[in-house]
Amino acid sequence: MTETAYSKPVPDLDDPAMAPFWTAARDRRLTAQQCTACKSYRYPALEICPTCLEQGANWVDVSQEGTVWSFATYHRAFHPGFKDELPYVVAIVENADGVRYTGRILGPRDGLAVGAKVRARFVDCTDRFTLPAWELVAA
Amino acid sequence: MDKDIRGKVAIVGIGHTAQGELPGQSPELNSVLAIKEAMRDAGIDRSALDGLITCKSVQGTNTDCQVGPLLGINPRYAQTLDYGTCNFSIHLAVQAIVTGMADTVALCYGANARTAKFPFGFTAPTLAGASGLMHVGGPAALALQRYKSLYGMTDEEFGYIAVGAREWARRNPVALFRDPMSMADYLAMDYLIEPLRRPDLTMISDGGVALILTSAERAGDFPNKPVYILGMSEASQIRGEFTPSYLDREFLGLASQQIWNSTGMTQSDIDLLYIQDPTAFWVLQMIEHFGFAPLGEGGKWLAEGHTLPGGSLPLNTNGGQLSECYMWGWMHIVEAVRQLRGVAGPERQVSGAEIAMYLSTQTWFKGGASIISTHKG
Repeated sequence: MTETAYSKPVPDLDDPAMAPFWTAARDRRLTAQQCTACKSYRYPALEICPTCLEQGANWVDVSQEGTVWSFATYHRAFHPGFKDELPYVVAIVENADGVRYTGRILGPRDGLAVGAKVRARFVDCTDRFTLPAWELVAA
Repeated sequence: MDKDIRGKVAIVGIGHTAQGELPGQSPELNSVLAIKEAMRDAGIDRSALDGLITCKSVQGTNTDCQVGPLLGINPRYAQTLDYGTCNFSIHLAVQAIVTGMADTVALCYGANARTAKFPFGFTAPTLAGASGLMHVGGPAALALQRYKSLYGMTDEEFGYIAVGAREWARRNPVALFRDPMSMADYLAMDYLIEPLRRPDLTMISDGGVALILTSAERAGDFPNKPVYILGMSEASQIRGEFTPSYLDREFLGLASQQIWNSTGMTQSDIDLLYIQDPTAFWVLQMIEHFGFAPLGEGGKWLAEGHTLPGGSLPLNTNGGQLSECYMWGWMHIVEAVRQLRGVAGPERQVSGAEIAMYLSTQTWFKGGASIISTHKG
């Protein structure tokens, strides 16, 4: 698939702060920054650890299992790229490491609820951009 | 140190432009046209102003240095607030006046986002944006969905906010949305961002609003009944999304504690309640965080009809942002002043109203509370 064929918004893949996250997504890895001093996770990227105010950090793989903190179902496309997928679901997912991600819920929605179990799923959108998203795990 | 601001500063002028579509008019022009109206209301000219506080437009314009050339004055005190939702602007004016940095201050907000076609569908270049989270209704829908899951509120209970706003707007000639909307009408509408329907979200409109505040010593010289600031408080959650469960906006509880403690008032002292309402869910949260209903029971409390015309605690008697106009809540305070002066007109004037409370937020980052009254103490 080429970039011109993909009609939804593409994140800033060249933002040096977040580039490691997007590179990892292409390899089906979900990542977060981890403070080298206090080991706290943070996402999105920050230049300093807000827990201990130390600057050192690495991008590390984190759990691809999570639970739905909440979700919203868009019945209107505020961006034309989503028109063909209405209604679509965006959720805040807290993964097993306590990191929260805002992303799509893809696939069947039976059982979609606050607290529902989900796992990460990666969608190749363009040559350079893979979207981390989530799908429900049967209870 | 004397920290009591009660009755030391008063609102003595209110003004606004027509609301809706004002093609070709900049936020700064709308601000200045509103200040003209506020000066007319206050019976003053520009020579009486030694302070100006502007609130940035959604595009980031309407700064003091951009309004200044049009307004034609160089006041002693000039400031701009990044998100000066009325509370914050009023609080800054009180601070400037009680410390002697200014005597009489004009506050203004101007917007042209409707006819300038500001792109509210804009998405951040992030995972959330790429996933289709857009419009303030997205985060509000996430917050509401979680609330419904935790507390079991029905769509009908929640609908009292939008239906009530429309009931009040029907009595307000300034309001843009005045067609009747029954609960049945509301419930029959499709979801926009489920669980929010269209009337649960504000519509963008153009306009300008201005207030004039002065010290209590001077307030008696103005033609209208002064409306005094009795209490004010703020709280922040400036860590934003790095705050766990940031959409629950629990930090507002701190602003609540502070205003009740500092004024010695309770919820039962409030005659009129104004809540800035870009989304109906923000209203529900603030009703609960400020203690008008227990956490999780705001929907049931609303369904009892307290906030509707004829109820014991009229809410957003102008129709709010949901049915009157966009204006980031500035028109709420204009309406509160009209009600307290007793000039809101026969259709919506609440008889005997003496104390009003105004609550606003900058989404999930900041919140403010003000209590105003025609009484000084």
